Amino acid sequence: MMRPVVVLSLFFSILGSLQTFAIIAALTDGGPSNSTHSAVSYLYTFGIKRMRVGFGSAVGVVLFIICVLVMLFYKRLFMREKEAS
Amino acid sequence: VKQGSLFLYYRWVLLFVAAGLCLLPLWATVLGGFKSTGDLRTNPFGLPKEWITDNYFSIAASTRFWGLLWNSFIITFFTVVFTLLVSSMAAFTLAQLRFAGRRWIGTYLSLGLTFPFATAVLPVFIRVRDMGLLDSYWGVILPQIAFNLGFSVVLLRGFFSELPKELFEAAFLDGCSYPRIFWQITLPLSRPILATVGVLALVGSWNEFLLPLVMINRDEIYPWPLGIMQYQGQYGTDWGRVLAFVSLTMAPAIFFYLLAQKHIIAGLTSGAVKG
Repeated sequence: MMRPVVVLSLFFSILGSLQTFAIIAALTDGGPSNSTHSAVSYLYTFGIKRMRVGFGSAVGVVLFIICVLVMLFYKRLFMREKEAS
Repeated sequence: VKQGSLFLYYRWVLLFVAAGLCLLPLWATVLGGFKSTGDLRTNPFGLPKEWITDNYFSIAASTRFWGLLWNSFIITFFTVVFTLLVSSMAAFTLAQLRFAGRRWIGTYLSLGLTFPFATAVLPVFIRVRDMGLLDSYWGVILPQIAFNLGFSVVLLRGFFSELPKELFEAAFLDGCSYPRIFWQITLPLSRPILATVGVLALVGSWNEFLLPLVMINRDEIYPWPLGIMQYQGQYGTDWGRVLAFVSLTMAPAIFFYLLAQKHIIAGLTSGAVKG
């Protein structure tokens, strides 16, 4: 019964945590030597702060592909649910 | 009977732990506002050794704080109003009218759900810069509306298409125009889902950090999440003051969330399960 809701919240929390930014910016700012960056803070540091626009865009595209993969996975779970019912 | 009560007991403990996990940071933040920095270091979660109310009072007395709140308020207000307006119109069209490409547009909009703002920071930044909207309220408001459209259209469309068809047929037979059906029939019936979408947009916009950080460089129009940074000095941060600041700014968002909480839970799942 609860499975669709559980799957949905799982999906949102995965997507949300892939986009962690504020916590990292406030706590470590990616430091020591870029070892604690998340994808988004990496994108921000290189793409916007240091104006390496091309590199930043590449990071964005990779992150987007990961998000699409997560979504496809969710779609498959959802479809299977529909077929089962 | 024994097993049933045991289960109840476990459930109670589990819920208590979950609630505690959510409340502990809030609790520590609000209390931390009353502490000195030294006290915070040695004793982050307990009651303060001595209650320092100066943190709260000096922040509430500063014009800077009210300026930050005002900026946040303007950005949030316009974001919520335009999100509701634009997305409810789009959702109404998609739910009620049949036209070529309807499904395609619907799918396209729900694709926005999976397209996180974070990946688009750079293109959005460049676009906003080309439009000359950097360092202005609109440079933050417009992208926020755009990125809210995905989830709000999906939620609203799910709700709109579940409204009883007979109502619309009756109105249509009586010669009611589409705009009037929208304003006078659909919207009044959709208050719960409008509250849901509105509050989600409100809380998201109120707490947004990355977007204003990228778009705004002028001190006078900083929203509050950026304002916190001014308390982080070069040599040390006055954490008591930061925490008091955060507690004060959290209040409006929490207040609205609690106000609409009932609607939010119902609205989210009604839209979600439909897909």
